Amino acid sequence: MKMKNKTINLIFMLFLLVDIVYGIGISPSRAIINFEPNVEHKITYTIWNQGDSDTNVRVYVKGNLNESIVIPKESILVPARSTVPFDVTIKLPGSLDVSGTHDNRIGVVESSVSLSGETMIGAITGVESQLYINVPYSGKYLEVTLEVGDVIVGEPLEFKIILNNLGSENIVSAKGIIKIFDPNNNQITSLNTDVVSIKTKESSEIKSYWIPKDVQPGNYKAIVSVDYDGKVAKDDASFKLGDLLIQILKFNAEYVKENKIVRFDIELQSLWNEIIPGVYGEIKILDLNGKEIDKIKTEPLDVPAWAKRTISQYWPIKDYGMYKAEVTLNYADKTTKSIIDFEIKKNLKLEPIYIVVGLLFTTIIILLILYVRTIKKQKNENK
Amino acid sequence: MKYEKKLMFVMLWIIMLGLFLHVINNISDITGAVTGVASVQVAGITSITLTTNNVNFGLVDPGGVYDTLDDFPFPFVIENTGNVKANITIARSANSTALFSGTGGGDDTLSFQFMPGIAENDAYDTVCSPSNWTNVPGTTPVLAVCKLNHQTPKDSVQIELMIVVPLDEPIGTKSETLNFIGYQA
Repeated sequence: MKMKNKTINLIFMLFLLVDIVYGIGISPSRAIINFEPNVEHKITYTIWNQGDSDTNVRVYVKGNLNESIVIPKESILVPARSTVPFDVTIKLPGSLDVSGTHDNRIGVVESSVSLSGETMIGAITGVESQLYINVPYSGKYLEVTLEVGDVIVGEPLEFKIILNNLGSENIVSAKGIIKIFDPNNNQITSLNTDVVSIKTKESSEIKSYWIPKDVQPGNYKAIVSVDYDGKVAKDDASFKLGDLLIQILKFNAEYVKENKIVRFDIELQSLWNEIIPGVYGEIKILDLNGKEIDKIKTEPLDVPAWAKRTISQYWPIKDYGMYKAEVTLNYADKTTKSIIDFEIKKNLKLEPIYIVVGLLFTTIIILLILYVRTIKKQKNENK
Repeated sequence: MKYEKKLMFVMLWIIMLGLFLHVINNISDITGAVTGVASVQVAGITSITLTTNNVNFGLVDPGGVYDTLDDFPFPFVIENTGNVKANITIARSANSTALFSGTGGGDDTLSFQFMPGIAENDAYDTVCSPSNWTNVPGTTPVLAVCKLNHQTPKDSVQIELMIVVPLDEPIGTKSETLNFIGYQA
C-alpha cells in the first residue's frame, strides 16, 4: 500500500514538474511473478496521460501467456494530465513446459493523430509494462546479468552483476570472474568478485570496480563467468572508454563535373561520452609539391556522444590536374588531421556542333575514297 | 461505579462492532478463485513524451531528398519522463499506410529513414542504438533508441527523419503515422 501511494505521489510530482505536449506513461513498469500452477494474481496498473487533451487509450496484451492475462477493456478514456487505474487479472495455467522468464507485456497506446499537410509524418506514443512470469528450473539454476556503463579513461568503472536464482534449490556459493577485452579482442585484465549465496526464487547483486589506465579509448567487452555449486553461468556486456577525441573514419573528394566543383566528405566519429559542440573542418587544397592553392571551411556541427557524422564542403575548381587535400578537424582546442590525393580530369563535352562537323568530315573522307577508287577503275578500263 | 461499568460495556460493543465490520470488509474482496501471493516487484514508471506529434516536410519534389538535420522541419523529440531507463521502438502505425507508393517507396525502404539525432549529453546508449540512417519499418517495431536516461537534463533525444521522394510518386498529400513505444530497458 505504501509503495502504491509512493508511486501515485511520484506520478503527480512528475505531472507537476514537466511541461509536456503529448505523452503517456504506465506504472508499474515491470512486474515479476513466480509461477505457481492455477494461481490467480491481480495487479493494478495506472495510465498517465501527460497530454493537453483527453485521449482514448488502447490497452493490449502481448506475449505467450496473453490468453491467461485479462484486461478490463480494450479502450480507456484518460482525461488530460490525469491518471486512471485499471486492474489486470493473471490466471496462471496448470503447467508451463518452458522454464525461465516468460516476457509478456501490458501495453497502452494513444489514439491516432489527425494529419493535414502536404507531406506529413505523424507520431503517437505508447508504453509497455513488462510482466515477467518466472517458471523455476528444476535443481540449481542461476541467471546472470552483467551491467556496465561508459566512462572516461582514468575514471573508475563499475561492473554490476545481477544474480537471479531461477532454480528450485538454494545456491550455497556463487563467485564470478570478469574478463575485460580491448577493441582487438585481447584480454587485458580480469577481476574476481565476492562470494554470495542465494535462496531459491531470490536474487542478489555483486559489484566490482576497475580503473582503466594506460589503455586506448574505444569499444571494450567484459565477460563474466559465475561458478555456482559446480555449475557456470555467463553473460557479457560492451562498454566504451572515452577520450576527448574525434576520429576521421573516411575523407574523400568527388569531382562534380556539371557544377565544376569538388565535394569533400569527412566521415567522423566522436570517442567522447558527451556532446562536442562546434566541430568544424578546415580543408587545405595543395599542389603535388605541397604548395597551398586554396583553403575552405565547413559549417560547425555539434557531435553527440559517440556519434558518427558526415560533414561536407564544396570547392569550385580552378584548374584540372592532381591535387592533395588536407583536412584539419577543430574541436575543444584539439585537432585531428587527414590527407588525401585526388585528380580532376578534364571532361570533353559532346556538343551537337562537334557531332555535325565530325559526321560531315567522315562523309567527305568516304566520298573522297570512293572518288579516288572510281578514277582508278576508269583508268584501268581505259588501259 | 455503575456508570463506569455501563461506559466500559458500550466501549466493548463499539470495539467488537469495529472488528466485525473490518472482517466483513475484507471478506467482500474474496472472489471465490484460488488467490496467490504475488511477489510483484514494483520497478517504477515507464513514460515517454513528444514535444510535437507531427513533422511537416511541406511541398516536396519527385526525386528530392529532405531531412530534419537542419531543424527545418524540426524533428521529433522524445523525452523519458519516467523513473527508469527506457528502450524506444519505432514502427508504422497499423492504421496508417506507408508514406510513398512510387517505385522504391513503401515500408522498410530508403524512401523513409530515421536515426537518433542530437541528444542531451550521454542521454542514451549509442552502442545498442542505430548510429546511421535506418529504414522506417512496417508494423513490426525496431529499436530506435536504446536505454534512454530518465534523469534531467539528459533524458531526451531527437529522432531525425529523411525522405527520398520516388520519381514516379503520384501527386497528392502524403502521410504516415509512426508509433513510438517505450518500455523499461
